[in-house]
Amino acid sequence: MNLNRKRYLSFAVHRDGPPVTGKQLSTAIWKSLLSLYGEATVSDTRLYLNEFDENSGLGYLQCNLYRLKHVIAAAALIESIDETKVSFEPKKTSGTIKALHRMKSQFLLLL
Amino acid sequence: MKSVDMDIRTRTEQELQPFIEMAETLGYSAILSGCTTDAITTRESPVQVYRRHNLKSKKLSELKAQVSKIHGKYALVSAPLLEVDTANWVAEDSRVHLLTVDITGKNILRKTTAGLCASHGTALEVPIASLLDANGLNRSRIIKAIRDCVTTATRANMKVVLSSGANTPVRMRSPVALFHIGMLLGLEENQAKEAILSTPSAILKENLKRLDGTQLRSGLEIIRNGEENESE
Repeated sequence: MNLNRKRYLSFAVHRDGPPVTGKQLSTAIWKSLLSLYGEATVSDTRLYLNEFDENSGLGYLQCNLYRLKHVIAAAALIESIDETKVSFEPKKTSGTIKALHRMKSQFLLLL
Repeated sequence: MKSVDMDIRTRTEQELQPFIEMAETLGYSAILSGCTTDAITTRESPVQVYRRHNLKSKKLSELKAQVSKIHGKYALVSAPLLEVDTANWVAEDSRVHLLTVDITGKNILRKTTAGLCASHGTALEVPIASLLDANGLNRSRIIKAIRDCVTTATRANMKVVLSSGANTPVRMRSPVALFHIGMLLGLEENQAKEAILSTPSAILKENLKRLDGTQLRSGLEIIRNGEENESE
C-alpha cells in the first residue's frame, strides 16, 4: 500500500472582513491541524496549497489521502484568520488536479 | 428535503436574510431559528425557515410549564441536557424533540436516558459553535464532553443531530464540513452522514406533519376519506 497517495481538494472560503492571502490560510490550517491532532499527524499530512484566489475565496489544496479527513475537519474549525471571520467549505475531492480543473470550468460555464 | 441546519441563533427576524443567503450557498434546504413569527414561513427562496424553541430552565416544573405553553407553536423544541430527572422527562415527552448536549461536561448523558430517548425518538443535538470559540485545552475539554455523550447515544441507538449554532452567517458550516466535524466528535462515517442528511430532515418532516394535524404521533396518522384513491 502506497502511504503517500495524494488527494486534491477544491474549496471555498467565505469571509466577513478583509481578504485573506493564501499564505495566511495555509498557516491557519497548519495551526488548526497541529492544535487538533498533534505533531505526529501534521508530519504525515503533506499539506500544500496549490491555488487560492483571494477575491473569490476559491482554491485547491493537496494532501495525503489518509489525512484528508483530518485536514478538512481542522480547516472547518477555523473561525477567523487574523481579523477576518471565515467559513471553510470543502467542495470536491479528486485524485488528479486535472479533474478538479474540469469541474471548475463546468461550474463557471453554469454561471 | 436536503440538509437542514437546526440551530441558527438570531436576535431578530430582520437578521435572518444573510443567514438564508449563506444557507443557500452552502446547500441547505431549511434552517431553524427562534426568531420567526410563524412556525412555518413559506418563502420564495429555496431555503425555508422554521421556528424552533429552546427551553431555558433548570427546574423540571418550569420546563413542564414552558412546554405546555408553547405546544403546537414551534416546528422544533429542544431542551438542554441537565440532571437525570429532567433529562429523563425530556426523553419521554414527545413534545420535546431534541436534547442539547452540555459542553461543560457537568451533565453527562446516561445510558438509561439515552435508551429512553432512543425508544421515544428524541435526538441528541450537538451544536458546533462552542468548538469554534475555543482552542487548545478548552477545546479538548469540550471535545471530550461531546464525545462522551455521542458515544453513549450511539451505543443506545439514540439519534444524533449536528447543527451549527451560528449567531453570524459566517459561522455556519457546510454539510460536508459538519460531516467531518462529526467524525472528529466520535461518529462513524454512516452515523455522521445520518446526523447531517437524514435525521434532521426526518425529525422536521414528522413535526411539520404534527403541526398540520395530520399526524398525531409517530405511526399514528389521520388519512382523510378518499385521499389514497385521489393520489393513486
